[in-house]
Amino acid sequence: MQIKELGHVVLWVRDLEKSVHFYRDILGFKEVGRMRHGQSVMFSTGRSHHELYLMSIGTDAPPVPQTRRAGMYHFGLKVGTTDDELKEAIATCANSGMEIVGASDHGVTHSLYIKDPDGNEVELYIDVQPELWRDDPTVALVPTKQLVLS
Amino acid sequence: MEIKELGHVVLGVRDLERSTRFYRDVLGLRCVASLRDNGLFFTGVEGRSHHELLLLQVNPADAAAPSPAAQGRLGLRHIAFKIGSTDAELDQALGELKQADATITDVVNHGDVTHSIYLKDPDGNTVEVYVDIDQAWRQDPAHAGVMATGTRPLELKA
Repeated sequence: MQIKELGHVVLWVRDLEKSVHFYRDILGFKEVGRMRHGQSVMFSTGRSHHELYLMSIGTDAPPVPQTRRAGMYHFGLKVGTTDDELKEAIATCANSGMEIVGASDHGVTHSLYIKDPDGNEVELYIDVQPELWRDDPTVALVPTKQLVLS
Repeated sequence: MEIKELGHVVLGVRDLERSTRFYRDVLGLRCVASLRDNGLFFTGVEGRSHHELLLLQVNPADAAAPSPAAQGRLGLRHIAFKIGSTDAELDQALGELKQADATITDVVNHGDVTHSIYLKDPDGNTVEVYVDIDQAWRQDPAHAGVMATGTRPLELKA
């Protein structure tokens, strides 16, 4: 067996409409459709039939742990290839009252970190051009630096 | 702002070597680089992005914390990896997973769009490996909706 690509991530959410507002209206993830009598929503950029799937689980579910432990730390969503696009993302977060909890220059990416309505960490990043990692995957290993946008 | 694509997922793992055996040797992800001595970057064979999965060794002190993978908790339900476009590929994968004593929890047909095997990774996270047997969603994105309405058990030979 060979993995061709990461297809999608599925999350349990407390308040589906709040999460849809976050992922669709603020981040700009295209909604594909609703399933399970409106209790689930699919999002896609067109790369795959769905890349994010949110399932409503109700208000009684235990919260996302905020401490370091085994399990998901975050997932990364690409928002472009230029610093201008990342600046636009920063402005959108500010206008929406969302706190940016981290910002890093990873060499191959310039990244922001935010929290979704359930406390999942989401990375928003641009792929720095030219894409040197395509010829040498190890360039992803440069030490993380403070983010300074051009 | 507009999302261009889902890039990667980062998982904290209790035992990096054990998880590497699962994701690299059993599932067949490509390990492209290591991060210091406590992390590994992986991509699919198509090399779509610089990394699609990053595994990070959690500190021993944090490893004892309960895993959030349990059903019924907010947050991650599962991560899905595409392995092909035919039942023959899924059948072969099922045989390999059984050979590797993987913890298989389900084999299903999602509305004749994808055929999927669900299994547990070493930390109890649910992982889906799937084949896309129908490409109609490329012309009609809403076609993906039949996946959730038409899920039923799938019989494979392996």
